[in-house]
Amino acid sequence: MKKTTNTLFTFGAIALAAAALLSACVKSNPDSPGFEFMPDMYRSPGPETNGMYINTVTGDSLSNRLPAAGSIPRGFTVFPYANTAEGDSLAKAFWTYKSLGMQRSEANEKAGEELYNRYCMVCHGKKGDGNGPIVVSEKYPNMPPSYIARMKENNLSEGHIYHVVTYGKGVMGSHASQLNPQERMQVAQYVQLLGREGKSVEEYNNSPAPAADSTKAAPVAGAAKATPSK
Amino acid sequence: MNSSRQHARRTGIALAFSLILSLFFSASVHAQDGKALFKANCSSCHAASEKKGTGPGLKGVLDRIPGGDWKYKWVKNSAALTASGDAYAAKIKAEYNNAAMTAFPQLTNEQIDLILNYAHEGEKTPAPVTATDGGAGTKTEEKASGNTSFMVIIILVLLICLIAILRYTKINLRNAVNEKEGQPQEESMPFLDAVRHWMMNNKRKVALIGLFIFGVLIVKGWYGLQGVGIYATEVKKDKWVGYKPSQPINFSHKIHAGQNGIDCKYCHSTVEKSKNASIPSVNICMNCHKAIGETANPGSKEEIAKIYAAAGYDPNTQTYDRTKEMPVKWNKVHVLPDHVFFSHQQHVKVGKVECETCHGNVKEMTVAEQQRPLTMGWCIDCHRKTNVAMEGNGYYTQLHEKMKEKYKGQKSFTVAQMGGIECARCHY
Repeated sequence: MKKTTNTLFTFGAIALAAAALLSACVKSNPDSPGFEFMPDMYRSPGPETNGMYINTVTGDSLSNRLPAAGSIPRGFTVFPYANTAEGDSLAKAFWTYKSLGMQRSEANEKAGEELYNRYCMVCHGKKGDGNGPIVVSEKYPNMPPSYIARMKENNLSEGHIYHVVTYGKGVMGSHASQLNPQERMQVAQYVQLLGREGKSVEEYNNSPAPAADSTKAAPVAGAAKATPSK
Repeated sequence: MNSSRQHARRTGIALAFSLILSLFFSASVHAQDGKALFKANCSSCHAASEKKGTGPGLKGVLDRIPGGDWKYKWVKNSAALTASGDAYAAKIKAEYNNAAMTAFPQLTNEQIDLILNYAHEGEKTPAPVTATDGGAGTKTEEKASGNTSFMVIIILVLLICLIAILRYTKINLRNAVNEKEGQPQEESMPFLDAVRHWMMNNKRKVALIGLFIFGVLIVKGWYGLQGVGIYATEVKKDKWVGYKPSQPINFSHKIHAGQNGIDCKYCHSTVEKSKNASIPSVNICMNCHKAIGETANPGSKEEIAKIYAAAGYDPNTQTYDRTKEMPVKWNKVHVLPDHVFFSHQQHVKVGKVECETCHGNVKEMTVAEQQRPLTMGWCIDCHRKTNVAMEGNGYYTQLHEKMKEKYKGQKSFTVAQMGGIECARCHY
């Protein structure tokens, strides 16, 4: 009887020790991608997008590379105006839908809406009044201008919008890496629609001219909107 | 006559009332609305703190600028003021890359005063939040797990020491007793011999212990073998998931995609145009972080400084130095082997599959991790079960008609039905 108890006790003690030791050993390092039993082509010998490999020509390990200076992708329309105030005013005057062989259309507006909600809405707001979610939550310190006010002031041409999307303006960064030329134009079209508060061009132009003091009131109206209202 | 007088009186009352109301209103405007005016008109370029934006930070501005009408002239038309040869105006313009400030002719002097008074006092910065969403949590976890294995080793060493000491004491005691009783001293055996001796005398125990250790090894080994397979470090419900490497920058999807509601595709912008969803380059980070150098989350300043370093950006001068650019070495979390073809474009743009289907609840992840097994069985399973979004989808107009003809009476079709589990679909 005593012998059995003794045996059980020893048995238990050693079992505990073994379990603890083993579990400590098996716990894996989160930075290790795991154990590759047989080569299963997880580590690509060829260059992969965003991957690392040893480049035998340059000796570094980058797979993403800049194209040779001056290269232009197939079907790409070069934007000829510089990132300056003059470039902006030139784009305003001469860069239109036609420059890209496009025109104002409902399909473009719809595509623009999707792109706008993806790339612009976070700051510029669903209605284009500058009250995007991260501006309202005050996580982003700068409030973007309202398209509605800008449309009233200076007609918000597609060339100007295109220039801003391409190069950025003020604290806004360039979105050229995210939007291709056609998409930029689609966004521009939707931004203009927001600036017209959803009215079509004819409707907007035919609507009664704003009263003389309305421009003065504009910033105050903007101010009233600026207070976060959830 | 009578009615007209009544009318006049009514109008009078209404007028008085509206006058009082407007007085009230204007008073409230005075009280709150430097801030709102500032936000609406100035905050795209200026901060109400010392932080430089496109223009200078405006905290303490009234102490810096010339007195008198200067501020009104500057705000209403800064270009004219600079052109008139004003020294301070010229200095400011030169300091900020010769960018002219937008003219605000529509603001009244009163409004300008409100704005400047607000900006002069500066925004009260909220106290930093102590609860964190940063990467801190996982680090402590790792540390803790490291500590436990260390503790186990220490305890084992202590136990072995204890056994040695007890054995030594036992022999000494027995020798003392032997000496007293006048019996010969017991020879002290070498440790290994002693163990062997004990094992010979306790074959039953040895067999039991051996059996147990064998069992543990079998079980642990089995689970260990299940862990074979790259990019899978944990077995959860018989699936290999959980690769969660630390990253060079403590980027939190929870903050960006979850709390701030930024679309996944804002940063992973090639997902609809390419095979790869792409790890965003730092210029996309800089779209926002040019203006956000620090947040309420502890450690944010250091992390954002890493973006600046990678972009070669100097936040003080607000200029980029292309020679200092340095790509960030992100650790790729979701990896498929080379022998399988997978296209994001095909799944996201054409098939309209949500990101979450394969990447899990990224919006809740502080550190990105693999939540789906990404094994062939898992792919096939989804291809068998999922109905393709064919209705009203321009990519499928023709195919949908053909499928309806082939499978009479059926309207929606799985990927498998259109050949989505053929070997050569993915392996070629």
